[in-house]
Parts: sequence; C-alpha cells; structure tokens
Amino acid sequence: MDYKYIEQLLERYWECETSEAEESILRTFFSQKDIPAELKRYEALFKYEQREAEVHLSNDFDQRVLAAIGNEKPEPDVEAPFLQTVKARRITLSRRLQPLYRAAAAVAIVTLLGTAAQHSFTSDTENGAWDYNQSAYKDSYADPQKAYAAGIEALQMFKEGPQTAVADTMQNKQANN
Amino acid sequence: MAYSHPDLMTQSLKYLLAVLFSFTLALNATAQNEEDFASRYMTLYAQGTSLECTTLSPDMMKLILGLPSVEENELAKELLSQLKSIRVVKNAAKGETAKLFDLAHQLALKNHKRYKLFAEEGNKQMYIRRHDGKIVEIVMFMHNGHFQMLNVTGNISESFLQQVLKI
Repeated sequence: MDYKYIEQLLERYWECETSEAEESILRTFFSQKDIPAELKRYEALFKYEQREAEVHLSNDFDQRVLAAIGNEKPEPDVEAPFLQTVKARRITLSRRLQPLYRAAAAVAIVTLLGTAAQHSFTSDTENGAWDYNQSAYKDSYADPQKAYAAGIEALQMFKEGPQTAVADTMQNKQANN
Repeated sequence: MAYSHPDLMTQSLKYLLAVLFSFTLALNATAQNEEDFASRYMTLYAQGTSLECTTLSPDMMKLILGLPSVEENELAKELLSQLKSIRVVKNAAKGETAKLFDLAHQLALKNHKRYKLFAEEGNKQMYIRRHDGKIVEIVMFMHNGHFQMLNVTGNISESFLQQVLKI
C-alpha cells in the first residue's frame, strides 16, 4: 500500500504548513487499527491530539461550578492543587486611619518647624525680649510724619513725670513679669 | 520607622502626633502674645468714659525711623529705635479724672509682679516691666486736671529715661 500522501502530509505537518482539514486527515489515519510499521512511531502523537480534541465540558459543569460557589468548603476532588485559599481579613478602624495619622504627623512636623523657625528668628533677632502681640496695635496715624510729631510730643510727657526713682531698676532684673 | 507590627506602628504614630501637637501648642503659648498696660486699661475701664487712646504701632515706629528728619536727629533716632510702640491715653471729662487715676493705680498694684514701681511723686507714678532682665515696657500716669497715661514698649536701655529728658 502506498502511503506517499500521508508521508507528504507529515512532511508538511512538521513544517507547520498543514491546514485544519489536513491535520484532521492525519488524525483519522492514525486512529485506525492497522498502522504501517514505518509510521507507527507517530501514532501516539496523533492519538493524543485526537483524544485532547475530544475533551469538552460535561453537561453538568455549570451546576457543579454553581454548587462549588455556594459551598464554603470547596470539594476536594474539584479543587486544583495549585489553587490557594485566600481568606478575607478584618481591618480595624485604627489600621484604616493609619495613612491619616501619617499625614497629620507630617503636617505637624512642618508646622512645628515653621513655628520654631519663625519664633527663633523673630524673637531673637528683631524683637529681642519684647514679647507683645504685634497685631494688637492699631495705628492712630496713617502719616509717619504726623506720627513722629505725636511720638515726640508723647515722649515729652516724661519731663512732666516723677523725676525721682523710688527703686533701683537693676534690683528688679530677676523679677520677670 | 522599622516597626513591623501594624498596631504598634499605629500606636507609635499616635504618640508622635500627640507629642508634636503638644510641643507646638507649648511653643505657641510662649510666643509673642502679651498685652501692654494701656491696652488692658482701655479694655477694662474705657467704656462709658471720655478716655481716648492714641497708638503708634511697631510698624509705624519702623516707618518713623526711616524718615529723613529722624535720620538727621541722632538723639531722636537713638530713643525711637529702642521703642516698638507708644500709646497715650487721655480723658476729656475732668470729673472722672480722679477715678481713672485710681483705677490705673489699682491695676498696677494688682499686677505688682509684672509692673514694678519705678518713680512716684504726688499724683504721678511710673512703672516698668522687665522681661528676661530687660526693660520692655514703661508706664507713666498722672493727673493734673485731666488723666494722662504714657505707655511705651520696646527693648529699652537703662539710660532711656535719662536720654528722654534731653529731648
């Protein structure tokens, strides 16, 4: 018997040039009982392909899946060995607010550093020991020249004041406030 | 931070936050928020009286120091550069003068730890306030028909009062 056609198909099969129909012919040929000895070595391959091509979902597949979803415990024979069980974990409120704490801490650090820098720069260099609330002063004059005249006039009042000190100011140095 | 346990890390963050917040509050509490004598006096007693307060603020004092007339006057420049603010309080109604003077005196006595009597002569009194050992406020009030109060704040030298008499 001449199997030249089959051999040609095989040649083209190894080159990946066969069509679906030609591969079907090959699978049909190798599914028969009498396979020539020189082609016997290919039989297992094409029978395997034939067998795999016939694998389909069973009719009760949907029912089995739905039943598995409904069950908390998956059926041992259905569960594949590579699947891992993922358990839901309860997250506490403090854990959920953790990013908020971080953000608040960052804001607090920036505020603290800013306040500290402002405090140290202004009080130590510009204001010295002067510790009054600057925003509490509302000017009575808008014109500096008029304000200057009023200031000098005000300082003249010291001449009308008591001229004799009753206490040594240096003695009070230790008494703050 | 190298804490692996999430609860421990949360607790640490809470603690850090509380410490920082407290420290910020403490720092703000020590910041500049004092009130001068004249301001306190006006807040307490001005309502219903003829008292008027004239104020030169720290910002205005800076502007004054930049004036050419001050630049040329060494004594004025020396004195004004020590001051941050000037307030003058006066009344118009003579009938209330004695009471207003007494109220100022009582307020100074009430705050005797803060204001030390520096000079006294008849119906004239002068008090000073020190902070960190330095004079930061001088209050003088008197009555001669009308009530008058002069209140200056700043970083004031010990010789300020001697210098101011030379104006």
